[in-house]
Amino acid sequence: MSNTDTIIDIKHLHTGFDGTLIHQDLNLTVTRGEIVAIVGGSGSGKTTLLNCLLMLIEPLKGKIDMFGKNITQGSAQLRQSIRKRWGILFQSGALFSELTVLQNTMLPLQLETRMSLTDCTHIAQLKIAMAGLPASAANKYPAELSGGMIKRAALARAIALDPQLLLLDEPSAGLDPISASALDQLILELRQTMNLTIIIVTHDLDTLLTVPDRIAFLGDKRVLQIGTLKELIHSDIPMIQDYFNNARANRTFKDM
Amino acid sequence: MVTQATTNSVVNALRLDTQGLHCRGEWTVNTLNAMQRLRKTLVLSGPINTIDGTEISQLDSAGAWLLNQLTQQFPQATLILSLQHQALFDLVKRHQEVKVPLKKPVKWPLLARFGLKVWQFFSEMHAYIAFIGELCHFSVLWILKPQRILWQVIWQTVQRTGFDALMIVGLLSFLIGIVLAYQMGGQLQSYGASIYIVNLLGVSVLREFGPLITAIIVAGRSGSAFAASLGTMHVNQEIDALQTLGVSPIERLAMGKILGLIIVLPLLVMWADCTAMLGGLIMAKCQLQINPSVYIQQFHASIGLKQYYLGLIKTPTFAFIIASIGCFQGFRVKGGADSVGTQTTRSVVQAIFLIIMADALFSIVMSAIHV
Repeated sequence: MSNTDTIIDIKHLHTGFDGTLIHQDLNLTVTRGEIVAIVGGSGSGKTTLLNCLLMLIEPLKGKIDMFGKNITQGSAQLRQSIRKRWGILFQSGALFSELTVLQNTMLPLQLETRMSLTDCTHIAQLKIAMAGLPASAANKYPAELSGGMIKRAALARAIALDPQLLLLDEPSAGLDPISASALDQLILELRQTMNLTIIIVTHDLDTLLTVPDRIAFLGDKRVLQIGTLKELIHSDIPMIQDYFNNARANRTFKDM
Repeated sequence: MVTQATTNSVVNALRLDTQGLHCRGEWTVNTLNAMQRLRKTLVLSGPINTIDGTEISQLDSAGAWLLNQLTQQFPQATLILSLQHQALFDLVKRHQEVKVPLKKPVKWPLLARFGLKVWQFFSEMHAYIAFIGELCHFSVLWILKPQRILWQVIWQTVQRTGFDALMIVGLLSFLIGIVLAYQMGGQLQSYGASIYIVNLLGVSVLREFGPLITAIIVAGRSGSAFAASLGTMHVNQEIDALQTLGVSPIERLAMGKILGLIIVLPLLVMWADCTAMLGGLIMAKCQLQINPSVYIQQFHASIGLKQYYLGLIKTPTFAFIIASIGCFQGFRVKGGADSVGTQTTRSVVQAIFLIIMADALFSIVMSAIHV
């Protein structure tokens, strides 16, 4: 594996708030073109790990490399350049409430490129269509959208600049099964055509079955095991066995 | 950002020859602007058969969109792309955007806008009166069933809007006392009537400045906080949650705040009166050489208790205005974060406006009944 193909490299990460340690000596590597899911029980620090990657919180110790550059000690300029290369789908969408869906999607384009307003509008409308939203949703405000449409609008904004790295926080949570599986297909398609690297934080067992190449299981403040779904299901670590060996999981994974 | 380097690489990005159109280089969001300019300069000598995109080094969906535009511009030409780029192009083509015109803000004529404002004003007033009606309903309920009273909310409001505001209210009234004494003292001194500073200060502070300044500070400090917190609760669906539990948000959230403020504002005004008179005392000593003992004696002799009561009697009304407007505007939040800001601003503006209106009304009534 050559160094340039490593998109994210987390080494000996320690994070915590107010004296409680959330991650202790966490290691994780993600290579280009890969879809990695992060799973784990409630409170295992999935969202904290994501926030750490997004540079929203500072780690206590350890090193995070992104696109081959150290972001934990990088200059403000370096961090800013990293921020232009990813797209993020927040759990609750985090659309700007005073802007329409179209304006939300256009915002990254207007901030980062010098395209004309018409071109921006066309590209944004294309992204909205790619995210699976009807064209009529473009002029709506986030408050007028359903939960599933908010997710799709947020995805449209996340892919507005064709990012190399897409971070999705619970993309299918709160969606009906049809929308959820359509979203899964969309994620796979985007990866294929746009050569994306994707990190998904999810609880959705069906998503785990179809989307990721590898799954990282968080527990005991670190990555307990990383591997394919099959490897995790047949893992001999008790915590992972509990996660994948219950009535719901057994129904979903009965063929594995 | 289009740097010089990218502009140079763009120059050869789109070339026309006898075989057709040749595309090469980087076709991404960063170069799209320059590409569009190049596309406009294309001069056609005849029909073209192929659009050759095999030399494109980097293609993203914005570039693919532009390629798609080219194929529409030259419908008879065939597009050749590398395998990797073909998939992306197909994806983009499949999601070819449906044109939806951008919603333009409608510009109404002046008369229509005026009418809308008037309509909004009256509908808001209607809603406010309905809100006061609900408050009356719950007041009666609380009087009949005192066990329903939410003492905890009331004391919390007393603590937050009263005790926590002592410093700022005290300091500002003290400064107002100093400024008033300084301004009036100069005038009085030239008439040799320095001692009447006490009469002037006493009447103006006790009857007007104390209650008014305190009410305005509290409107900015606590009325806005009520509106913002209730508005944020609406955004978080907490208000909906209360309603589904069968609890009235007005009783649960507004009543305690309003009662708490009605209790605490008169106390704050007493405190403000004291510090303002203290400021006056210090200024009288420094500027007019009136001894504190003389100042207090004169105050005692010339200012009746009536002035004090006439100032205080207004404060429960002010408190009701501040708290009810704050809560009312908080409940009127619709949608998201933006609306919270708008309604909070409205709550402060309306509260201060109504306080001054009420103060004027009190003055008229008091002079009419000769007190």
